[in-house]
Amino acid sequence: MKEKDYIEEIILKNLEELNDNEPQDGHFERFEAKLKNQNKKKKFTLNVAWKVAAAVVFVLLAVNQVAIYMSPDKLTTKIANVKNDISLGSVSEEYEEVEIYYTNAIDAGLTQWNTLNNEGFISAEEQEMMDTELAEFEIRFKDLQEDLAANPNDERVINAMLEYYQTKLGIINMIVNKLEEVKQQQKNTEHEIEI
Amino acid sequence: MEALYKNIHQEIIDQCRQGNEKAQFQLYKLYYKAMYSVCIRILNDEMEAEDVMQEAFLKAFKKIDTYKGEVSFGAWLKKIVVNRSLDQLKKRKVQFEEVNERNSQIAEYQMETKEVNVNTIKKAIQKLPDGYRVVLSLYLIEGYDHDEISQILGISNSSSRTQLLRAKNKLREQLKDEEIFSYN
Repeated sequence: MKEKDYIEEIILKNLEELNDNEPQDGHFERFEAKLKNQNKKKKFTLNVAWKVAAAVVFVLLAVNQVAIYMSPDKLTTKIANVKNDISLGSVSEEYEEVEIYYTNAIDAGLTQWNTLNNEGFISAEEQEMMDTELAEFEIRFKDLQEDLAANPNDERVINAMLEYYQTKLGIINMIVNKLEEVKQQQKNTEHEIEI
Repeated sequence: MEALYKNIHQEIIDQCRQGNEKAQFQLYKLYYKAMYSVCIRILNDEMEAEDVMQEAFLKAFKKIDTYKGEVSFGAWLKKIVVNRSLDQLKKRKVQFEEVNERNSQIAEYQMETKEVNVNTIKKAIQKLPDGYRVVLSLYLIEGYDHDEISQILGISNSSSRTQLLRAKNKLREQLKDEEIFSYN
């Protein structure tokens, strides 16, 4: 390799000064503006990142809530709710009609009971008896509903359900009729006294 | 473990890593002249050179995490500046001349060493055609070797050597003219 030539020499000699060029005036301000702009953008993207993170956390929480809602515990109560809705009507349309007949008849009986109660023909003791009776019917009905949910097509369960309605209606009608009789008798005696 | 390069301004560099704007501006003040000089030699246009130099700084701050300290910070930064400048130059559709092998043997003028004013050298470099100026700058001032230059410019190694010789000869002529001119 030959020695450094003239050009190489003068360049090396002046390297420091060759690297000492000054940009046009105002370059500091121009750079500062660019730097601020870049850092602002960075902050903005950081801001966005935070927002995204917050959104992700929110979604996770929401999903968690849904998961808790759908978790086995809730699921069984939901099934229980469904069970509550199950009755003869869920088996077939014919049974639904039968069921509507019975519930309407029972409701009518209970309305009668309530009118009698309002008229003062029912003592607190009798009301209590009726309430316990109805509560017992309610428990029996729940049992039947569960049975029906478990075996929707089981004739025995359907028959038990029909029997239940028949019994309930029978008892309520019997009580209400008895009370009506009593009421009538009272009216008659009152009438007789008046005469 | 490889010993990391100890920079004089290591503290400022570390602050820049944390996105400290003051430190970033300080670093600019420390290196802008050298980096601007690189840009102006490659691009030969003051506005463009300033723009590319500043963009290179911004890019360097953005990816400062990739600076692991294997080389000096200045060398790392200069690489970004050189690459950005060349990208800019390529936008101007500058062709880095592929030289015919037959013409590649060029005699080198030999001249006596004389003191030359640095501004004269700067001006002479500026007058060189783009291709010559870039190769001469990268080789003689930025310290790239012919392999690196051929890679970065997409030319052959021999073409890089030839362009350097031609650039030097041209520079010599210009300085000679300048000399005559100044003597007159």
